[in-house]
Amino acid sequence: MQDTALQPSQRVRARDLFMAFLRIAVAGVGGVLPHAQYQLVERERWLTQREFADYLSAGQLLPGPNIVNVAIMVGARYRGLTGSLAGVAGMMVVPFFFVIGLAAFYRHFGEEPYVRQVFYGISAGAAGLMISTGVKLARAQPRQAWALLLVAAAFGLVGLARLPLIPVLLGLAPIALWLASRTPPPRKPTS
Amino acid sequence: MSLSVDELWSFGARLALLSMFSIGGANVVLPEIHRHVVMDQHWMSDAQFGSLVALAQASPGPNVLVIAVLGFQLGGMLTAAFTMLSFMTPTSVLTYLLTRIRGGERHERMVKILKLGLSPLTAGLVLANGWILTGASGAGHAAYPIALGAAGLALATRLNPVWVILGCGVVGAIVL
Repeated sequence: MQDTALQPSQRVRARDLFMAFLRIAVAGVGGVLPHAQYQLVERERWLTQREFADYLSAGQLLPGPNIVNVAIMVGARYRGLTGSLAGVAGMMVVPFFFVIGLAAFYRHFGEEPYVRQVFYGISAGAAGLMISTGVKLARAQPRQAWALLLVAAAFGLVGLARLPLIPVLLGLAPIALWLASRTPPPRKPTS
Repeated sequence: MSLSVDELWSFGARLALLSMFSIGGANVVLPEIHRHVVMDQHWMSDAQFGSLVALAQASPGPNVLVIAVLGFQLGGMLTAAFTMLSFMTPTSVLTYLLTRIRGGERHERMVKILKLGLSPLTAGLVLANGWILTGASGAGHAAYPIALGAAGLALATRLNPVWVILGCGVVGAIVL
């Protein structure tokens, strides 16, 4: 457990921010978060464990990719706008070209009979992983009727009824926030 | 296939708008992108969409790269960069601006309520996305047991998800 971190007044080189987030992105095949914790808290000591948890939950709460939001926040803390840009670039640039390479492979060979079947299997598997992520998120909710009803409503309206996302969110979010504001804070924080 | 300049701009604007609703990550808005790209515009097939999503999941980097992969399929490298920037810029600017604001205690209470209220919605939307992608995988009815197996493995073991995905590819090659 790491409980000291650099002060925001200390500066970190943009290059170091770029490299740290590059390492997080490249090492984190199939799940970036454990690696982000290792790099940011244990290796670089840019965040304490507590700060990491706070940054992460802020990153999840804000729209946009969670880990990219974390890169923006960490970059801004140590190097302002340049730092944010360096962090995001580190996170995105190399993986971008890698994934485009895969997409180019798919474009050329994706319709070959054998390759196509492999891709069918792979996409079913990826969808299954998405479901497992959803189950983990659902399990982390407070065991209260209103929270479970909201999970079910969001799933049913978008997944089964296939209603468009934006109206569903605009309808459900105010109800969700109203219900949440009436709930006394839990004794054990769940995240 | 390649989009016209007009189609590209309106797709970019749609992505920028959707990004502001992607609470919990890019995966949350995939059903909506699927609706537009596959069901309304017929720019690609179900199976193509599913395969590209899987590609992005199996490769290093954040899941949001799926937007680049879809862009590449719709044009090429430049289209990929364009869709990626359209999706990432609005939320990145928002996050950056918020780092400039310091919150007090009222702010903390507000964040707690937002988190408590929005995370059940995120959970439901991620489940919805997994469900829709299962149907769109191209594997037909066989997709459901495969997806269920993958989900079960991911929940019950600490196996790296990449192995689960590749394993499903092998299963697909043998069974389908």
